[in-house]
Amino acid sequence: MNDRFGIGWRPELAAGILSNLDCIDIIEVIADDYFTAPRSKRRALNTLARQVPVALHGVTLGMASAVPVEARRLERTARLVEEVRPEFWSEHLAFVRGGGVEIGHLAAPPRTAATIAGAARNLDVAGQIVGAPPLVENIATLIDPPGSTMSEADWNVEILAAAQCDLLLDLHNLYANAVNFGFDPHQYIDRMPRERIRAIHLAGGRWIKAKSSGEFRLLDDHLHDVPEAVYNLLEYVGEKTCHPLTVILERDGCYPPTNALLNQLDLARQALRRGRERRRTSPVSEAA
Amino acid sequence: MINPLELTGPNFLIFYMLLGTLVLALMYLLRRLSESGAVPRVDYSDPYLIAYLRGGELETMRVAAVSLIDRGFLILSNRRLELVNDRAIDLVRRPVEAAVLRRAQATNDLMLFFDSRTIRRTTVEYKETLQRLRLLPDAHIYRVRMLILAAALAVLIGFALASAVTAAMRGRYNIIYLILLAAFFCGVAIKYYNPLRTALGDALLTDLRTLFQSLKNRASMIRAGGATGEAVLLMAVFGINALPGATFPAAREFDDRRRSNRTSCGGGHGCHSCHSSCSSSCSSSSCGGGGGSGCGGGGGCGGGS
Repeated sequence: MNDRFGIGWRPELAAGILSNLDCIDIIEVIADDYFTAPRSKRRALNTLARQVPVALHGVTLGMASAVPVEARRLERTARLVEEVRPEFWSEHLAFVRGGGVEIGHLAAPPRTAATIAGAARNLDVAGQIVGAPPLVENIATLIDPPGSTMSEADWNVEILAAAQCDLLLDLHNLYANAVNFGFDPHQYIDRMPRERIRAIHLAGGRWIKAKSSGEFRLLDDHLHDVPEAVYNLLEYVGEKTCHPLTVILERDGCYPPTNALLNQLDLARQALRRGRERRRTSPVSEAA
Repeated sequence: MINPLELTGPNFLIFYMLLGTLVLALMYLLRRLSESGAVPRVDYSDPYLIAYLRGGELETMRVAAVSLIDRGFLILSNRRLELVNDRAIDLVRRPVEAAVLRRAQATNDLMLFFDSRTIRRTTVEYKETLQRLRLLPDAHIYRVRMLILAAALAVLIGFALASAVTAAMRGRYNIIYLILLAAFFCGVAIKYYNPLRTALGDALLTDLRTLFQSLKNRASMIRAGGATGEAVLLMAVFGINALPGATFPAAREFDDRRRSNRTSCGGGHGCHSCHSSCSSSCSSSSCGGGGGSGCGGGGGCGGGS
């Protein structure tokens, strides 16, 4: 079993990442940063991909939408995938535009049969154009999408069944949604087809207070350290799965010293190892 | 078809200028072709390897010295380098760092400090590694460069000689402009035939500078004290002057030294390295970066990604 642990590539972290490749197995690059990048930047990405395994992560395709994904965007992704040859590529189960307007945000669509069908169609087309289907990532949301007819877990499971894609399970998104909307994240994980969980995202967030209702919500901002609860969820995933996982730590700003990020990666290693260990020693898990 | 040797006066000089330009361009292209390829995997955990690639042995020693000052193993005071204590030598990992610390036991004078064969010997391993990776020219690449130069000189000198002989046979001896042009093109060919790095080495360094650009822009946020490897890798890629003088005063001191070296570098063993490190660090770093972006860069992630 070879679980891999990596960090989301941000140029600000470049030196810290490259000087610690002995404890970073993979890096995840935001694909959209390179679609219209100058040649020098794309060549630098190719050089990077020769130094360390790379995964590409998309943020602007808007897969979970009744509106078809633009072929032009998929073709850009295809070109980048062809050039970089990543270990895998991934996208969010979100919509990012509507009626020609870019939201600039990963928004959760209504959880309905229509958006499941739309997402499945988009993912199928993406797989055909890019040459490999993406891993799909669950997103965080501060509001329960209006018009939804099913739970987030059911909706994700339906999409996974319809699209034949594997899952990039963002544990902080899951944790944030669970505390914001009062469901048990463990049950959510149990609902997911465990053999389809291929990669994990870890991140941090902060509590914000809604002005209108005064309620607190956990915002997944990627600017804070990974909370203990998320490591516990990772341990749980480790207990429930038996195939290798790729775990990526995401940080988008307020960058701490590299050592602090590497420590968080170490905590992730320990958590997953504990989960694997528990699976080995638990008679129930063995039977499962 | 016009025989160029039949051309006379300004017409031949124009032809020769075009020929010289073409020969230099071909030299450049042939060198790039013979030295390019896929960028190899490099061990970035040792930043001195990159420092060597950028500026050779002197630059490696300077980066090591600034790093050791930053980490508290060396003290720079009144342009003198002092070892903080003898145990420091046992605490560093890299041979080049140990050699720099030993040198500080022998001499404190910053001007004489890097004139040390012992320190240079510790950088040989970097040179060999980079040659193995085809990032620096090895004996084979050097031979190819020599061949390209020889061919270029043969064409340039051959045409000039043939033209001079033809002119002499026709009783014309005003060939001073031809001699000057031939000398100019031959001089340029000789000056640039053997750069420090291979085309592959140039490509890797350019790519690293592209990858590290944001780090350079927030250089003012990098902490002194060696808490992270960022400072030394930044120095390795962009040069010592990429570090902010306010946080890394030693960087400023070494910058001063470089300026004085530029005028005092009159020859001898250290001069090639001195030249290359001066030119490479200045061209690479726009001298004195550090805008600082800092906290709060991660916009647009509020909704979770």
